[in-house]
Amino acid sequence: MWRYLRDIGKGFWSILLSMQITLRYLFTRAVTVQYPEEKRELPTRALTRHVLTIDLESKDLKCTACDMCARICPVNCIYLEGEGKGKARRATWFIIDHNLCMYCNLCVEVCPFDAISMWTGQYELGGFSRTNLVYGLDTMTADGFYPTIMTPRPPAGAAVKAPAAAGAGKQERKG
Amino acid sequence: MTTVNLQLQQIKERAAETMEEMWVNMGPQHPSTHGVLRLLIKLDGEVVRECIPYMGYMHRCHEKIGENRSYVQIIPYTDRLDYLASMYNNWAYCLGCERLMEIQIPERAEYLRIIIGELQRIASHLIWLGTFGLDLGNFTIFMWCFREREMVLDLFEAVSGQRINYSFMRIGGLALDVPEGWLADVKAFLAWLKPRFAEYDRLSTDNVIWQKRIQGVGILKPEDAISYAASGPMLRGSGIQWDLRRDDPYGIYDRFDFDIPIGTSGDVWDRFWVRRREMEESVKIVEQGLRDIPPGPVLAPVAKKLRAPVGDIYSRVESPRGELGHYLIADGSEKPYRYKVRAPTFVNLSALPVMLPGCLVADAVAVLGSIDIVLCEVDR
Ligand code: SF4
Ligand code: SF4
Repeated sequence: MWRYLRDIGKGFWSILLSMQITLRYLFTRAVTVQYPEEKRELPTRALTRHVLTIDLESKDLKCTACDMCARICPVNCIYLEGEGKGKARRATWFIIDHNLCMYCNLCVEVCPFDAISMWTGQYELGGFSRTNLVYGLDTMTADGFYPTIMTPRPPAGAAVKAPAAAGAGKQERKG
Repeated sequence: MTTVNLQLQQIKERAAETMEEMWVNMGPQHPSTHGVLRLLIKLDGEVVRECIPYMGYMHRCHEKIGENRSYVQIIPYTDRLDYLASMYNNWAYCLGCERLMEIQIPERAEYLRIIIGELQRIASHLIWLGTFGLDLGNFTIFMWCFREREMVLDLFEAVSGQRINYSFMRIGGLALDVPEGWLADVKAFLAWLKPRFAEYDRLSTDNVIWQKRIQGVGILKPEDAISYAASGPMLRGSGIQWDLRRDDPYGIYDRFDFDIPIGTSGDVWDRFWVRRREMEESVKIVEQGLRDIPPGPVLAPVAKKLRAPVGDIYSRVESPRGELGHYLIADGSEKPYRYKVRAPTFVNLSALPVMLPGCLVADAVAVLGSIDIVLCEVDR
């Protein structure tokens, strides 16, 4: 009986001790952000959606429809077709199905021309039907999304920094 | 202890007089089964007499998919095994491939792998502690553990761009070097984390109710642990000092100095306490890594099209949940001929039927929570 009461007392006491810490946190700043109103700043490398990058001088797409990205993609969600020979070859259509994509970045790494990038900071991709997430050539090069950030694989030991994206209206983001 | 035992004794006696035994389904849709796990439990009043776990609700043919993908393409799939410790899955798989193809990875990559792996262990144990608190009815600790885990995820997002499924390791090293200032961020995080352990202790460990809930419950004897091939904190909780980081070092773990906490009696409390102390050991390892990390490249020069020589390999690592092994048979082509994953939680879960008999139903939740299952890995 005595032991039983003592256990209850001990239980209450340890709850009070825990409550003390909880109380202290009542007066500190919240770590959460109220999402739709406030947005947290994404790091530079956040993998969000695909864009095709353009050459800053010629304003042409860098992609030469070499099919490397479509072949490395584990879920086969890149479909593309090209026209022309050698360096002049360009994609006539280029579709990425973001329903299937698992954001592994392999396609970006494998591209020999740095023509595709996922470091865009555009993460609100919601749509009302599945086809809204199937991005074609026009969506992937839409104004404001290009030219993007940098080469996917910087030289060893080099600092990661965003190059000056002049003339395209896409502001630099800090990593 | 004694009051609980007394109650248990009374319940048992009463049950023997009046009630019949019956089989009850716990799950697949049960909030405490951490996913879709079905436990068929034979109840005698409040007391569990027998338990049969049924798994496989989330079978995704992981291994068969792997046999139809090239070596590089499997990496993103391994993320989806144990989604609370994706970096470890990447590491385990890449390590297997590297041993198979005899690739030597650069020094900096080795260090970064260990730093990232141990951070992942901290994050995984934190989420375990949080959900375990939830199982026991302690909601506050859940929120706090998630706060710290969120910080680890932020660090990982800065290096890999993803928060859960990182796909960050590559065969031959890492996909990218860490961004500038990241190592300083890790240091700052550790400085923040270390005083938090005392708070967790105050909130849970020192709490008498918490202690009474989990001490002496769900005992796994050392000989049972060995015969069921349990690994990780399950095995160490039973008092067996076996940690692949020390006993079969992979990477460069042999250069690091850390302790291996073990339990004494193999009950839920011991498993909890082993994990809780392992977090501190991980902090130690990360600090040593931060101190010694050299500059240099992070990816060894590897061929564009990776082909493995004919042969097979079983490579294992100590993931936060136990021995995570990858078995690969190569036939000289771009794809593995056979690919098998030894999932630690699957093996640990199979020891549940020896732990549960004699427990109350409410304790069954605590015992299940203490195994730290991730159903995606169990079912693959
Ligand atoms: S995006 Fe790159 S890899 Fe893909 S087709 Fe174009 S150039 Fe080739
Ligand atoms: S990120 Fe991965 S899954 Fe998505 S399109 Fe690129 S290669 Fe395919």
